[in-house]
Amino acid sequence: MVKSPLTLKNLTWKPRFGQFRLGPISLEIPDGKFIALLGPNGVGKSSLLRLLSGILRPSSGKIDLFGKDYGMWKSRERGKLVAFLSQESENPFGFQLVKYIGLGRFPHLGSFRRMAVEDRKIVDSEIDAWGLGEFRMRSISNLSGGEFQRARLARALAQQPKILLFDEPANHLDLQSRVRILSRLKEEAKKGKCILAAIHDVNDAMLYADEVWLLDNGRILDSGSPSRVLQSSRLADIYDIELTRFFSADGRMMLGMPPASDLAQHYM
Amino acid sequence: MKNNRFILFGIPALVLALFGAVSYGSIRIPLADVMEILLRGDGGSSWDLIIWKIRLPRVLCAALVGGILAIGGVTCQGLFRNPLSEPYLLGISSGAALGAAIAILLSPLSGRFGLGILGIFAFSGAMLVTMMVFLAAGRGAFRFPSTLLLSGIAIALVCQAIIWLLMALNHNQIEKIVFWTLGSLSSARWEKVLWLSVTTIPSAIVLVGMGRMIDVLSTGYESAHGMGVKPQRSASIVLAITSFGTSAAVAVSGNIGFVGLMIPHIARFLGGPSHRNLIINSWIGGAILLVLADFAARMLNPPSEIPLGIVTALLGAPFLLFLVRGKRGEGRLDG
Repeated sequence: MVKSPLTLKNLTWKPRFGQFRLGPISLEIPDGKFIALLGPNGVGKSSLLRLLSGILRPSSGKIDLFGKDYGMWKSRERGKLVAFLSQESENPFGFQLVKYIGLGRFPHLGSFRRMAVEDRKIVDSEIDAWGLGEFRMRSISNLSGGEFQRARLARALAQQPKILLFDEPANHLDLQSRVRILSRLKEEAKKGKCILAAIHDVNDAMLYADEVWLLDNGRILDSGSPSRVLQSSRLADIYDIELTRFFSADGRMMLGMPPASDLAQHYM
Repeated sequence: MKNNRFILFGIPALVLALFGAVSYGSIRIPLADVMEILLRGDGGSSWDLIIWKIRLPRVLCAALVGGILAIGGVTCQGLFRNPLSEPYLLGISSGAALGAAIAILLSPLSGRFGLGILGIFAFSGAMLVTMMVFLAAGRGAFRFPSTLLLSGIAIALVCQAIIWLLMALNHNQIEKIVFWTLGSLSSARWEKVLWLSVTTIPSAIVLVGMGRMIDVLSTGYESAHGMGVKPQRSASIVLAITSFGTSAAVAVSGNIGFVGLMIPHIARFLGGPSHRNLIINSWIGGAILLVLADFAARMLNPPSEIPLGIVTALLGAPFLLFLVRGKRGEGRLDG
């Protein structure tokens, strides 16, 4: 039997302080899907991703990674399977881009094994795939926000993980970087990776995700295909906003935000 | 080692500095004679005595102390992702100073064996205070570096207050305590070379071996975790080795500032930020700087010596400013 990449059994998590509680959640996360976590700020999207990456330990229940309890995995073995890009601000000293992306090979190489031809190929193909060739030997401190986010994803993909967890991949990015990153995630899912990303823009989720999980108050309220979940009245309830539906020229459904005048009446 | 152009001129520069510092002094011994005396061993003449008993242990101490102080700066800056970090922020300097002050007050006779009572107290003080800083910062020490750095500052202030109190109560010893904290290698002897060799060299080698892991850690807690590292544990090991090596050096030299802060920036600028090479390069750079600074401390105002910490500060600060300003156009030092 093929083990599901991630299995959550009665997972709950509480922070040391405060009232927030995540879960209980029980489910199996399938591979080959790009799953978008959607929900307002503070409902537990980042905490869920941290739990799934192993940074946080569940307060009760457990998470199995390929059929084995998370805590039983050696960190480097885990690193070969799971990559996590968090929202933590990352400002390492100005590594050359090629070295920075090469850090993604750490789980495979450890401290002492040298980069082999194979490893270099993986790094180079990521650099090419992201169109970062001209920055190859340059310091990452010279990259723009969008270029750096691409470099981070390149580094995570150089890990060749089975599972990729990404907290807000499209944050602060211009349209081109956003589209490139999201479509790459979709493509990687098609190739069989399990991809979970916290996403804020409903249309990003609509266009690129295979599945949407709607979170509120630490629970998954709804999950399923984007067009179904994003049409449900639950979405409007959670955000307390009435979204308008419209259709693009090629017939895809999109969601639009209400104009300012409507909102003024709504909130005043 | 591969792809490290820095060592091509770094190592010759270090050798040159070492020979120069052995050759020059209040009495000048030509390089040819230095070579001959070094090759044939201590023959008992006055030049032999100067080289074997005084200058050689002294320059070797300078190199070993400078090297490990610079490495301490590299690991702290890398782990805390903060270009202003240095090992002294962990409480090493204040702990060592407190230990030394107590030793000076307790034992005016201060036995002259091995590291000396002063050195033992300074080393123990540095290690104890560093442990207190880690305990005060708690489990999130690496995840939230500012907690650790602030604990370090708070505990350093307490140590400093105690030192001032001790000085206020013991006027006659003030000068000795102040001079110890400003740093000096005038007491360098072979026992201290041996002590530094068995403490700082293994520390340095282990840290070079952990270089790639420090690269990963320098991207941040969650990133490092995502790349298959146990961030808290790995960082603790790196910091423990750093504190041990630095404390061992400070016990011999007193608190020499600026090396740990400045050399990593220079080495990063000249040889890149990847930690395996950076640690090697910083060791070389720190060794060169301290050999030259100690040379200057001896030569500027003979026969009395200028405290080493003063020399490193005066040499180092302008150079650092020059580097920071010069790099403005192309990227920044902090990222």
